Amino acid sequence: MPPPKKAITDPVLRSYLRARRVPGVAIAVIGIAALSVAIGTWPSRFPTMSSSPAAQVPFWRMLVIVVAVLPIIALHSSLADLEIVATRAFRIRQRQYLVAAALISVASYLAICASVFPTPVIAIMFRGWFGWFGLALLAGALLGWRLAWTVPVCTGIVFWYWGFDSNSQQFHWWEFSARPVLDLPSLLLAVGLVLVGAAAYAATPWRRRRLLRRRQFD
Amino acid sequence: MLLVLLPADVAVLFLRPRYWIGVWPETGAAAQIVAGLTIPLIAGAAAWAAAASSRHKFTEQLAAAQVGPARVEAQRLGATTAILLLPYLLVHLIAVVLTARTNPPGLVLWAGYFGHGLFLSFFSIAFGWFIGRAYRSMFSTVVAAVGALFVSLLLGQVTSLLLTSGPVALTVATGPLVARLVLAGILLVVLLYLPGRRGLRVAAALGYGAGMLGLIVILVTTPVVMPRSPSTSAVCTTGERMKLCLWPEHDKYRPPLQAMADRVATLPAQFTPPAVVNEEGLDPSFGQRYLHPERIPASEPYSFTVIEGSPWSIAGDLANIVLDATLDFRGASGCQWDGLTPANRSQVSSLYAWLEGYIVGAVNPDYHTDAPPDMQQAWATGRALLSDTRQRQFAWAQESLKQLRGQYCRAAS
Repeated sequence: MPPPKKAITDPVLRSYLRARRVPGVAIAVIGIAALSVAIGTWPSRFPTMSSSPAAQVPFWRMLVIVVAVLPIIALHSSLADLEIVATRAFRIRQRQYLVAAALISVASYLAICASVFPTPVIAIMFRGWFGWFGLALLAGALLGWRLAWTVPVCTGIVFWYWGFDSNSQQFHWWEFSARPVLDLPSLLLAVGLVLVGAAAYAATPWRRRRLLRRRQFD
Repeated sequence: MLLVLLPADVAVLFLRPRYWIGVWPETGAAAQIVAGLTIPLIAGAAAWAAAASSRHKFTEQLAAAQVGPARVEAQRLGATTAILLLPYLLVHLIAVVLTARTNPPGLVLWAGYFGHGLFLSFFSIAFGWFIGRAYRSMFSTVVAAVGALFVSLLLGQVTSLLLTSGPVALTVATGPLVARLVLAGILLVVLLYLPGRRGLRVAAALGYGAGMLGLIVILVTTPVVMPRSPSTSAVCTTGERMKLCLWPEHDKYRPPLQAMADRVATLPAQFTPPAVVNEEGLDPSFGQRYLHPERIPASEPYSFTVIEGSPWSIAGDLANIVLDATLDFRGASGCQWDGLTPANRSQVSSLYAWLEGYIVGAVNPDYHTDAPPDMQQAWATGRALLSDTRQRQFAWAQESLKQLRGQYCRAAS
């Protein structure tokens, strides 16, 4: 049977995607975007150390984390036990899927949110997403893809509770998900976290072994 | 998990203002904050643990085991609950030891907040375990974590659920707390029958749904934080002109308060402070005013609050009270303040800031303000006088009072 038009022609990528929960992620991202549009600006009343009203965490700052985490959790599949021994062909498709799924999900999320939120907030969401995505990659590489949410959510809790400095009435410099749009430390931190995540993703067991062995001979 | 939760929970207790040490309700509230903060982690961990047998492809072996599935489940759920509760209990132990050193009254107020945090943890575990059992998917832990967080935050929009402080005038109400704990316990017991035979499984799922619904109804309809009945055993400072009374639990603030009462006693005779001022909540009408804030009577009795243990929060309230009583802002004895000019308004603000600093005995406040610039300017004028000699300060204050009275209190003078 000839493949239908516009379908993915690469058979390996097709079988890679078939084992993944792509529609599930897409539906979830749209759902989260809808939730952000509906209640994103509400103060969540999550406990904060500072009693200042400015320290309150609006719901959208939490929802961005979920958007960043979902494509990474979906790296897992019911064939995970088999995929451990997979080869270069598999890794290439995994990389293609990851980049595409991540960019498409964040783009569609931000596009839907842009109908309600002003541009600076969209920009802050995008910067925050980078940081969370990096942390999720790191967690996924360390603990397994299904637990990719752990490090971002733990970091989020720290940010929400301690992120606001009552003395200066500002968010701390490391609060990359809430600082003003044109804040350099936040930008560097978010980009740095993506690089850390990418490095953790690239540091596969065989690469680590090769790296260690080379050092032994030096 | 424990390695992350333990240090994190202890950090939450100490990396914050430590005014809670020595006051039981604040001790309980400070130690239960972690239960609210870790809701997503507890729920996610519970979901992960619930799915462990299917994740390790061990369900067949368990199904064929001689022990009943409910018993196996009870051991797994029990172990998970014990491990996840351990850091919470430890944080309370540390907090209790620190406050018990000074042995203040009001231990029962601590117990209320302890119970509330316990309920939050049980709720998170029951929520996460059910999702881990019922939703077999790679997304189940993240759904449990984020779901528990959002359910509790959305419920927190309509009722007080994630508490951050334990004001001495309020208490965790016993009835609603017990109802919450009992329902959370029922949810945990029902969960044991989820892996059983099909009929039992459906019944357990239905029971869980009903229990959850009942819990939500109770959460929304019965507020868990209520005003206390006024204490008959208030502790009071001595004071020739103004006596200050505190809740007995706040006895540790009596020495600084005594100093403030003493400084009020040295004010010039033109100041006429009320003879007794209570801490908020000691007045019998407080409960009604707390429950029905829209029905605040025109002249509610004077009271002060201790915010985060700050002496400036007390002095600010006292300065307002002394000025209010001295200048008759409520118009009880013939003063008319409706036509206050901007210049005179600044004068009142300067007097307020001076009085606040004078009562607390310091110049630089410990709080931040977003008051309008002209008001801050007036405050700075008043505070600048504090480093002058006492004689000149009093002369300026008397002159200001005289001017203001002369303009707005003709009937009285």
